[in-house]
Amino acid sequence: MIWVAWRFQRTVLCALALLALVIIAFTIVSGSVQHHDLSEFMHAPCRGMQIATPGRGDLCGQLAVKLDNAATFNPYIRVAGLVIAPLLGVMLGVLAVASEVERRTVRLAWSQSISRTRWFAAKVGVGAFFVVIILVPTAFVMSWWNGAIGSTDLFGRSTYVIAGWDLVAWGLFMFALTLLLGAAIRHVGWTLAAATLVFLAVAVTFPSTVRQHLVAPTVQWSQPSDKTQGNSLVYGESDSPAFIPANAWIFFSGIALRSTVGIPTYAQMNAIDPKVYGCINRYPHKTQSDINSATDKCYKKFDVENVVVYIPANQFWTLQLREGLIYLSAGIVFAGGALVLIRRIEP
Amino acid sequence: MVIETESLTKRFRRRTALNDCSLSIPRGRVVALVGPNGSGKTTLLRLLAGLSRPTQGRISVFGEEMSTSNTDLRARVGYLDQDRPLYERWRVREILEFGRRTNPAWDPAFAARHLALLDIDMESPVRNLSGGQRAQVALAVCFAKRPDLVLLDEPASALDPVARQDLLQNITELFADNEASVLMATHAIDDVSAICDYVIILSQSRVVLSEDLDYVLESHRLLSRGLNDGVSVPRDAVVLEERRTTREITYLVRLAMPMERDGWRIERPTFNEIAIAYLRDRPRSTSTLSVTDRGESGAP
Repeated sequence: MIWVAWRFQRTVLCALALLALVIIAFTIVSGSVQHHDLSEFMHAPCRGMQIATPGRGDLCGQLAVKLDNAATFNPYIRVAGLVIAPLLGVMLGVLAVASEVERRTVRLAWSQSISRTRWFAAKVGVGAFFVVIILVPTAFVMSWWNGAIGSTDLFGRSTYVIAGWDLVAWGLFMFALTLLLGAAIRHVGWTLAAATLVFLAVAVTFPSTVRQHLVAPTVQWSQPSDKTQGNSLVYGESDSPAFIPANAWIFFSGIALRSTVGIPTYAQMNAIDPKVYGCINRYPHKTQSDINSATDKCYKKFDVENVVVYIPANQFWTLQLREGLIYLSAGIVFAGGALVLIRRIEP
Repeated sequence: MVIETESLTKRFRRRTALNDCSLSIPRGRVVALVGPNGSGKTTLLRLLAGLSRPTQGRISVFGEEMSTSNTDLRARVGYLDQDRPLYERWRVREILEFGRRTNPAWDPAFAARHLALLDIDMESPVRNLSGGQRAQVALAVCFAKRPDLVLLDEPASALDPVARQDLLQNITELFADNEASVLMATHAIDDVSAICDYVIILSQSRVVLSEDLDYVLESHRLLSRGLNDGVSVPRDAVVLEERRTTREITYLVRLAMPMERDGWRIERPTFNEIAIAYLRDRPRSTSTLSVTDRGESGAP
């Protein structure tokens, strides 16, 4: 039966595998070129324009332009990375069930000496196997590429999925979802449309509503005068009132009442912020020391502290694992639902 | 009995496709399932093939309850769908490989021999085959699983007369080789007398006749007399159809026993005439026709 499932999906599988190979090859080339150019730029006398090099500006500028040019295709690679998993899952899913039911070839298959459960298991097994086989190297290359081009943004909408292993879970989720939709709708076109809508809905709402709750955020309170290891707090700068860890996913950064329960909100901060800074401004601030002193006094007067709420970069893989497990669990439920529907279909 | 159904009913939302059908089909017969469009032939075959579930009643095939999950029983039943659903992009060879991998009792030599005799190229994609060739490939898949019961839904539809004749000839030969029971739904009543020995007539979702073809032909007669002869139809005859000309009246009747000439001109009707008379009949309250249920309603 595995042969039957493979033969049925062979053409689309080969086309999608070829597409993935092209994306992988292009991504490797792009990543290698940009990594080389970035390294060259950072090792130039200007150290990536961090050091002023009078008389050597042309070289640095040329390297910067070269790096920019090499990054021209980055948006396309990100889009390809975001699209390949759902595309693969949807195409294989729609082919596995909706297409067979619509073309009525299930009448041929289901009148042979095999059960519908076995028929479905073979379809799911072959489809899921190829989703994994194609997406694991894709995810690996995408993750490498994100690092190779010097991207430090791990949690951005266009980065998070392609920077980790959720690409594979995404593909399996969409595959199972399309199996379920195909078994319910039984028409290729409508199944594709419904799968696309669900994909967009999940892609838009999941990061903003679910993802941030998958890992307990770190809440860091600090007085203006506090020092953190290796990172001094900046006095009096409203846009960076506290230490912000590198590459973290920041939910909140500002001042909040010490009595705040849970994660402070920007609305709460906006209520107290003018009072605190009004207080600070009433003190004489001829020197930095004056400002520091005024800030300390006003923070104590209003009982506020600097606070940053974030998910640190070292939680990235934990987040990926948990989100991936959610996709996989949902995928298993969808596949189970599809099987229930398939057993009821009267072709 | 190879097939037994009891009060079998299938509804699709508001439409009743099959209504209270009770059937018993003996083993080793080539059975014609005759009826107009929408009479429930395809629905009955799909229920028997385990593709569909009855709304009410039960289906027994070889003494076992047929269901969508009874794989062992389905292994003994070959089904040819009226749409001939085959994988369009596959080669004929791959279709046979599909059959081999999905049927434990698959006979590869039979399938290859059958298609070779018909000069069908094994490497040809299914989409390049003619309607007749497609039907033959589907038939090969159906028979090569070595079923004990073959269900054929309009096997000769959409074929030209030559292809149709060849297909029916093949079915006869395959039946002879396999010794399987065959249930064949057809619109073409002419096909019935050519290859079938048992007949079921469905009309308006009900079974109106289910009997041996020979018995059907023996038990029906055309009775003719002049319009003013004043002879009445025998009491135990069921009048199925009445035809009038300016001088003569003819009844197609079903007889419970041989009758005396008694002023009538008696002729044997063709199966075509009998079938059409049943198909034109009004819906009946019982699923099968009884000899006495019409009484003399059609008699003068």
